[in-house]
Amino acid sequence: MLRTYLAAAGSSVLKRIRPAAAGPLSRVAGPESPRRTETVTADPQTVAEFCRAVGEPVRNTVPVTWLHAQGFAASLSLLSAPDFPAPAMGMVHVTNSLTQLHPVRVGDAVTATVWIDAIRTHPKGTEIVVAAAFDVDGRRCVDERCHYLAKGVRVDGATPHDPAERTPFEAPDATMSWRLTPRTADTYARVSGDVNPIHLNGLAAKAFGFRGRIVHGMYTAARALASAQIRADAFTWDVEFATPVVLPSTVAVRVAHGSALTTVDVWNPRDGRPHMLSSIRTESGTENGTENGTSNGRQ
Amino acid sequence: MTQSPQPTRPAAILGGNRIPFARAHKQYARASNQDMLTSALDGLVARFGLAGERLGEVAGGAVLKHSRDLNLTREAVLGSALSPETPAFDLGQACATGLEATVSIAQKIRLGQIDVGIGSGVDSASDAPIAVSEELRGVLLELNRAKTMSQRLRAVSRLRPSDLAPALPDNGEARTGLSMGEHQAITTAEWGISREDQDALALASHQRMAAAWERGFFDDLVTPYLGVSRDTNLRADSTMESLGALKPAFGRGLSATPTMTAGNSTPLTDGASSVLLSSQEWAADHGIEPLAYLVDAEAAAVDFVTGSEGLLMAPAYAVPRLLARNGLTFADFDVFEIHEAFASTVLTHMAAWESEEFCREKLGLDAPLGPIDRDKLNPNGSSLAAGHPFAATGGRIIASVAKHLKETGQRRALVSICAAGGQGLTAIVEA
Amino acid sequence: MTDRYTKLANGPLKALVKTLGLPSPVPLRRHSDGAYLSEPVLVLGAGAAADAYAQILLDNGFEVRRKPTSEKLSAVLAFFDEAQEPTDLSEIALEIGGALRGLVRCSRVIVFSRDAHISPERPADTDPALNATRNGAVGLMRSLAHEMRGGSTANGIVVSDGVPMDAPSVVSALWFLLSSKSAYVSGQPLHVTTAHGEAATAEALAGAHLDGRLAVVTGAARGIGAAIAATLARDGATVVGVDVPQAGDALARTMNGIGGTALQLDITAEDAGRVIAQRVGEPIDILVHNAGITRDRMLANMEASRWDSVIAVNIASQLRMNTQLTEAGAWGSAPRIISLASTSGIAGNRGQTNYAASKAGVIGMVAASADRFAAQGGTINAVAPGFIETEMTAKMPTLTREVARRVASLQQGGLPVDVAEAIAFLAAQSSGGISGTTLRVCGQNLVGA
Repeated sequence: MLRTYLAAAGSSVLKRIRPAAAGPLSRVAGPESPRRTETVTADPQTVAEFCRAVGEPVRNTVPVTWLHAQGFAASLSLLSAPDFPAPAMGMVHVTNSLTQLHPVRVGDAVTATVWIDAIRTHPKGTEIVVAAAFDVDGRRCVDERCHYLAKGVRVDGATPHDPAERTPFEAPDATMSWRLTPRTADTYARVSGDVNPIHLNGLAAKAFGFRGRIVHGMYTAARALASAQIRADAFTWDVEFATPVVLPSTVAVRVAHGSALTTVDVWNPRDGRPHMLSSIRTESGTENGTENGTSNGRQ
Repeated sequence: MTQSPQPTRPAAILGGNRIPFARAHKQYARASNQDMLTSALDGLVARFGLAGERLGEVAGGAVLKHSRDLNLTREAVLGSALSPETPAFDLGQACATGLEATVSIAQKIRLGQIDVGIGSGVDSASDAPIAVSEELRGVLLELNRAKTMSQRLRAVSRLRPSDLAPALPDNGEARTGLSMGEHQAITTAEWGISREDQDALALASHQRMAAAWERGFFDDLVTPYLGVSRDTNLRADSTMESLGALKPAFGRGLSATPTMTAGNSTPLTDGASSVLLSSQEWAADHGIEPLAYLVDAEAAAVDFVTGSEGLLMAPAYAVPRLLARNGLTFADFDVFEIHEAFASTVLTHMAAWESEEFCREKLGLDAPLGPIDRDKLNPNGSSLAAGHPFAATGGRIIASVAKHLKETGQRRALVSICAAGGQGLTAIVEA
Repeated sequence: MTDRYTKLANGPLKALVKTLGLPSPVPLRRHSDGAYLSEPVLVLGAGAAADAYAQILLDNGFEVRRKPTSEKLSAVLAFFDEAQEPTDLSEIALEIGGALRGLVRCSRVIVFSRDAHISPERPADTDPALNATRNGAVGLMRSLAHEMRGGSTANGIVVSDGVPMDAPSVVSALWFLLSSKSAYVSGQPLHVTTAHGEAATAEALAGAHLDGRLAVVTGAARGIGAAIAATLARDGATVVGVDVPQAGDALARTMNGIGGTALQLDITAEDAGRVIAQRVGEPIDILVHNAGITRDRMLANMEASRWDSVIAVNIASQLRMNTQLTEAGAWGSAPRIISLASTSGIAGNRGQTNYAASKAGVIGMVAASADRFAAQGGTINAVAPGFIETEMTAKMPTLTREVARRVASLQQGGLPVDVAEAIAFLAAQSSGGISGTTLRVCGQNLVGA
């Protein structure tokens, strides 16, 4: 994985100096673009370690956040491909959308298929949509779309697109408080395989413009999903990353259960600015929480 | 409600003993849970002349518990003057541990499983367990499992210097990371409990407990320990002015004005308590006149994780169920012993029982339970004055309220204790 | 608290102590060393009582000699009960003298006599010569006690007119004085005034003679009170120990050590007696008023609080408790009340006007209460300890403490158990003929002699 990052960094540097050769974007993005496919077995020990790290209970089903991590290396290598028109390093994960149709069980052989779904315009640069599908025995279990922003990068031929407005956020009273430390990032890097230096090295983080090491956005998202305690087999999970969490920090959290919608928001308790907003939509509201629970759910 | 035709017999509360409660990191700083529990048991044994006696069972527990104390209560029994043939078991229900221990002994007596037993509890916030960090623990366990040198090296390579720092226990909720005070601050704000009401309740607690000490009420409920002969948190000279001068300690991050201070919240405390219970026959055989009887108990729990209910609101749900099962209303009670985790917990419970909306929508009642006469509330003070060594509070309350009933000739008392994890345990004590 | 001098004088410095003629205290035999010595007992006197006691001793397994002998002896019993004239004393007195060299360590001389009337209130027909003879026997005993060596003691048993010489309590007193339980009692006349009480054998009195009796001991947490509680429990009593709540931890430890029950109570409380009656919940057979305090100060500097607290604890509380327990009908059959007096209450002590007033008060109280308790078959007595090795006396200045120890005939301080043994003896069923008296446990301390 580190090698992938080094390759990504190398190709990123090259692309800054000499942009990738222009060609039809359909060769690198969209339904016809190349796919990376890899089959991994959800080893109980490995999945358990991941669960412990993000606060998921260790049980017989595999958290979708673990599946995400299995597709990540493939997506990084796609983004770092020489003919990919934007540098992978410096891309920011802005939103993530995932649907679980059926749960994956530990011991299952999961086939992860990853491709670039779209390259579209964005007011601040270019948005790249990475798609991942996770199948077990030919049955689709999980579909995922990861939205990355390449700031200040213009790609000719990008699909015109108006991104959704950021959800307005006013900090509510917290129902939880998390202490996040550099060790949190170390541990998540180990269990997820995402060894991006901005999470692991203060100097590297500063080089990319952060005040210090920042925690993996997907860690925050994974822990939020774990806190929501979704017991439904099928759900859709939307995540919006707002500002990074510089380590160490104590963040404020609110989990709010509605009948079919659970929201988990994470923000900075000092200035009220959001770090991450997420929602989980289930088929029916009977799976979790109370019917009459308070909800500040965003429709 | 179960339809149990099994005949039961009354479980008598014969008396209790505790050590004076002391603020953390003071007089009992070097005493362990086992030391304090043993001392509380020894005082009880002496009070009832039970040296060398084999009792049916001793139940006990601690909230802040060392991993080595897996058999805490049994070890305390072995160190006490009781017969070493007295069995014991540990249990835990956070701050309700002491009451649950007492209830479980009472139920065993009611069922005829044992004739006599002790319910007990202890907690030291001073001699608290310190664990290695989760990371170091993981590495050590991994090392233990490793079979080859390379596996060992891989395990050790994960270690960082910061992992060597010890992990201190805190009273944060495991699932939310918020302290109990922060949780209660949310509830307090939601119910709009005023600072003045909270301070007044704290003042009454101190004044009533000071008066009880003064008239010798605790002479046969407490045995001195390590040179302490009265609860050290007790401030007989508290005033509304002195309480009013304290700065808010919780809820500063909330939108509402913070109202909870160190004065209307319980401090971390060390202490241990025990209650002797038996069948009527055993009491008569030993020439002991029961103080009262433990009649029934009801636990409740709420979903605080999502914020749909306050962390410490469970007793508000337990009490109506307990009343309904026993066909009682507030009018049938002479005494209300509501554990003062914070002044505002007591006040929110009472506000909830007075609220038509809460009673209708949350409790499903046609009418509110109604108000509680403040003169009947915690007549000898409670945790705000005595302090609150978590698992020791139940035993303190049960022994005190049983004696209070005996002393005053009153008939019935309601006991209520809120606990971490969104739980609450309530009980009925009758003369 | 340890008497280092006694250890040295019986160890490395033994020769030096002897050469210099320094006090040479010996370790006393106590109950834990065995109740009675095995050497023969010499019984002196030709009357019926002497004969009767020779037989009683034989019946109880003692070896008896009726004539002076060159054998080693464990005790000499001298019967003066039939002496009429002062000149009648000489024969037996000289025989005692002749036997002294044959006495083993920690042996006993016990002088039996009839009661002399020396208080102004005496029967009108008291014969002066007879009265002189009877009182002479006590004088002889007192001086002899000063002359005893090697941990041996001399004591008297003084029997009132009309009470048979072999009344249960006379025999009971003999067993006590003969035994190691009376180790620190010397120079004392024990008055038997009635024929009440149940006869007991020497063996019975050395065993669990308080079986089935319930005893309440005040001030039982530590020191003499703890020893009293332990001794009563050893002798079979069920003990309820009372002490102030502040001493509750020590009280619990003491009670758990003897299988007793702890009752935390301030005995100066207005209703202490009623509380005790209610808490104990069953008939009280034995009550030991042991709780006491000192608040020493020269009278010129005495504060009211010091005076009042001593009176309140040491005597006023006892009077009130006795009354309340009687009113509550709390006594068992033939109750035994034993109150702690002090040699200070007999002789007075500088700086202790308050304490001496309270302790002399105790002596007065028991004397005046005897008739009331006799009505329900009970007795009330006092025990006056001399210098006893306790936490309290350990705090005395070294020189004062050394003097206090050596001015006793036994040349050492007593132990708390010595006081406790005297109390257990007075609590015995067989001691029913002894009431209204004060028994000193002082090693025949010069103070108040």
